Amino acid sequence: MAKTVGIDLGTTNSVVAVMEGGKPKVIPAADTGRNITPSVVEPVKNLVGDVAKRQAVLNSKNTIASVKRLMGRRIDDSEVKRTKDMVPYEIKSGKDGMAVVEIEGKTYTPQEISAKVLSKLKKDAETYLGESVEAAVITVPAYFDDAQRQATKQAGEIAGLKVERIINEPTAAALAYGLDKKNNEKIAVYDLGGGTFDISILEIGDGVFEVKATNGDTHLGGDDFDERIVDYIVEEFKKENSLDLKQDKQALQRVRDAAEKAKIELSAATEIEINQPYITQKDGQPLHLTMKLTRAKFEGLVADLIEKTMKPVADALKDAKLSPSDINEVIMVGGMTRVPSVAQEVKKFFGKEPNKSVNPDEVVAVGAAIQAGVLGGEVKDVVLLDVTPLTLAIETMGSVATPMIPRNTTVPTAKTEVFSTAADNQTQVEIHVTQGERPLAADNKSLGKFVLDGIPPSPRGVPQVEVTFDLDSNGILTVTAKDKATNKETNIKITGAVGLSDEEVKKAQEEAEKYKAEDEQKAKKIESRNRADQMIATTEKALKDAGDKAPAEIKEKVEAKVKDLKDILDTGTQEELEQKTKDLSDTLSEVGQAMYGGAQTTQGTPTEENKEEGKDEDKKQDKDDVEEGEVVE
Amino acid sequence: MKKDNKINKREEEVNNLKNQLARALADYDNLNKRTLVERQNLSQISSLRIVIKLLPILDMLEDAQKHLADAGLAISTGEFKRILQEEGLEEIIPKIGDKFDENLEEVVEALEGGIEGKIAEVVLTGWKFKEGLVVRHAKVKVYLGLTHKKGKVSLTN
Repeated sequence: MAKTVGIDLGTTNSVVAVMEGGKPKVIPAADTGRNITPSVVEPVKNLVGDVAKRQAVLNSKNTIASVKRLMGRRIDDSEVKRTKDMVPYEIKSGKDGMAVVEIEGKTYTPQEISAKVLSKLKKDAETYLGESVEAAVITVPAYFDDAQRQATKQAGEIAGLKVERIINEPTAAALAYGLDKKNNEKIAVYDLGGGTFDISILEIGDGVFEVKATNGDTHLGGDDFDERIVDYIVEEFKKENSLDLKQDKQALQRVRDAAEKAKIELSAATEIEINQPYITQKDGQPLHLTMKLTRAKFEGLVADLIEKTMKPVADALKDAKLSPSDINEVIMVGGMTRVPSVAQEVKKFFGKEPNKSVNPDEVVAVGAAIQAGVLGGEVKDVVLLDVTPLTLAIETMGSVATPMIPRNTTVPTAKTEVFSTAADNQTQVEIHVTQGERPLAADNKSLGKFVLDGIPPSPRGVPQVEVTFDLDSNGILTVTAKDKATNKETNIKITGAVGLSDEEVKKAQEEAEKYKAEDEQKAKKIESRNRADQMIATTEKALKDAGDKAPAEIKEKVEAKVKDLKDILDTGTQEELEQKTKDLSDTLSEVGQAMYGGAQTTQGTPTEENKEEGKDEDKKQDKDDVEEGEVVE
Repeated sequence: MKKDNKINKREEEVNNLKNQLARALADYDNLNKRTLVERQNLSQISSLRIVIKLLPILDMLEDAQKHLADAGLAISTGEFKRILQEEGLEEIIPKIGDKFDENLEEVVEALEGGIEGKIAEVVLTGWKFKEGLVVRHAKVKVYLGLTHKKGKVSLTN
């Protein structure tokens, strides 16, 4: 079944994505493994993407970048004139006065060049999917006129793609955030890319997006930010060493790389170090570039660039006859929106937190893929995969909620686990099903309880009760408990384990977050109590087994310790429980020692072997200590 | 008539569901195939992350070696490279005078003179996996050849 892909055909970089299993997936380039492909083409040798970029310096006149700036424009267009001054390749007037590029005497239309980028993305998608790709949804800036859209469509056709639809980049971004489901909302899309800045104001009603206004700066982007850092580094280095790194091409290249890296790192860290040893030489002595750059300094360097984007934003709002507070959603697009101060400025202007959870480099392609999925009949409401919004758990010893199906698990799903009893000769277990994120069963919502009885009397921990949680796609949870010895089983059906309202889910998650520390403390205490309980059971069994072989005085001592621990079992603090458990464990090992010690005197032949056995016994007891009774009482 | 409509609607629904099931199965099948390939490449991918971060450090050590010419440092960088080789990597060392190859190298500067398209200087060696992916392209300076204002003339001596 041929798929329709979504393509973000950008000025600097392009991205392709596809719907897979009902979810958008960005496709990595086959040659680099990276999700983005530079929109760079060398048409003579037919090189596209990174490989074309690598030879650009050598072959600048034949290497075409930023061809999107020429798409569907006439040679006398002001943007074409501006581009002409910027790029090293020849731009000429072609048929009907349209801008074309000329390379080694041959002319290429911008459509043909863009088609080469699209062909590569098509091929990458085919490699990834293992099937042919024949159709695509391609995005264009909201301000593109009819001629530019037509040209983009032609580019797709030249590349052998049926262009199912041309959609606006901001619309695609809004789709990626699922905003098509909103009604009568106003959306601002702030797109700061490698070389261009666009702001679009959209209105959504009945699933249709309307562009209310667009504005921007076609020559402002990430490259300008990098340049500011480079200038700063060079300036600082000059102050210290009175040497201009810009005169040394090789050093400058390293500074450029370091600047780009610094910009990316400063999105996460508040201070970074730039270290480039042996950057250059002076009087035969090597010079090192080492400096610290704080986020505050970086923000100072680029503040005016960010400020420069805010005027187009205000103008666009004015054109749309709206005020910042009328905007319901703000969406961030483009790698530069990762810079924290960019997000802050946008937040300050609109008075609300911008949407930036979808990768800003990929969000447009993701939206295009969603549109492609809708057109290809792939995205429908019938089989939307659902997830469990909250953890489904079973109550075990000490009222602990032991998770069976963690939240965000895709349904249908099933999980089986084996539990045991908490007390000797326990003949029935109660299965208590809970829902929620808190560690204690009592703090979560109880979904239902049932009892499995008829378990043959045996020591604690011996019976095996198999518990299965089966959650179907309609949200019906069937919990089954089966005693493995008798094969006796009972079950319960619970409906509505999935269908919670958003508010209910949010509330449960918030509560879990709020009580996190407290809950952890409680859980730890219960764990200590369970361990103490286990220790008491182990000790009592050991004393019984030892019978008369254990000396009476030691036996008494142990019994006293058992009583100590029992007394505080429900009242003691975690520390007290742990201390007393340890005391008991230490005293209990004396029983073992005394017993073997006794054996020595009777036989009169102490051997290494005996001592070893004693140690083994200790080890076994230790092991018993930590074995948890995962049990339902 | 009404019944026919109902049946038609049912059929349409069945077809829709069949279609979606087929898509889901196909997606799953493809996912399986791809995971298999990715798992085979997993060791490469996991070393890739760390190797990318370590290479600049190796460059720094090599720069230091150029200045210090220290025997101990030479041994250290040698060991460093040996580890990379053990991880399935090999160094891309372009030869001066060879033809520039955009698949393995990146031009950082074009120099006037020389023979067009031939490597003039190696700025930085590259690294690639023995079978496949280039981790870092070698950085080279390449000759433009003798250039005239109109067109290029390549010397072939």
